[in-house]
Amino acid sequence: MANEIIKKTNSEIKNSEVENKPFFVPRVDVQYDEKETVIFAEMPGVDDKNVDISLDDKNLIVTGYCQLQIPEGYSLKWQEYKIGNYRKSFLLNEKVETSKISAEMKNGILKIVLPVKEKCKPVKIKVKTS
Amino acid sequence: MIWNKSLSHYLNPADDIHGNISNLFDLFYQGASKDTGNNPPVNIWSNDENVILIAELPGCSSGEIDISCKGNLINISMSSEESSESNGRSFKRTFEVPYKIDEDKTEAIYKDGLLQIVMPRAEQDKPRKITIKG
Repeated sequence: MANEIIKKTNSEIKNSEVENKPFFVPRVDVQYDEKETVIFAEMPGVDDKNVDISLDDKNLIVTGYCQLQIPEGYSLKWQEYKIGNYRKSFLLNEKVETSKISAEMKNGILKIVLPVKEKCKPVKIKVKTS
Repeated sequence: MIWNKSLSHYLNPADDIHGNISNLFDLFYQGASKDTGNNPPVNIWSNDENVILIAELPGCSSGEIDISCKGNLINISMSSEESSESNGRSFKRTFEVPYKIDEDKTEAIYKDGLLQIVMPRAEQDKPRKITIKG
């Protein structure tokens, strides 16, 4: 019985119901080194099928549609977070190799890898001895 | 949306006084998202049969989460290594639910960064109809 309830909370939701939810800005960590920049965005309740990443010129827009449904016939007794979708945009600089951007969704965390263009990577200069 | 639903219930003059009071509490809780610091934020729903607790715990693995319950208390804790996915995050939280839980039938699922626990009400705690002998 308990399983059925959980299944119900995770069941397919009509598009209109998902879109009617408010949008929140996800919590984000950004790490970078010489080769790549990695973005980690916290999106609990979003699976890999319901995340949308689009690149408009230099604007990387990330949208996650939360699949969590309010249990039917239940009343809310305690609330510490609000249920909604996630959206955040990132302004990329010219160093990013946009054709090689990759993304992965795991356990509610979206990881986006932005590789640095080959020609923009730092070059090591050898010091000659006179 | 739950907010609108609760608001309309609260404003409905046909509701009895008890309904209004309970909805007033619902309205208070729904209006406020609390800052829980390092602890994962939790929402709790209930009806006469079950309590559902859903915690936001992105980036964990199910093996790191410990859940125990007794009576009407439920404990959720996590202590992980620095090298693990959740980078050494640890917490311990205890919640009191409105009635006694059937520990054996309690089920938990971790999916998409959400921990969902369904706790059925203990059989002996359910209200019983008492027949009057004539």
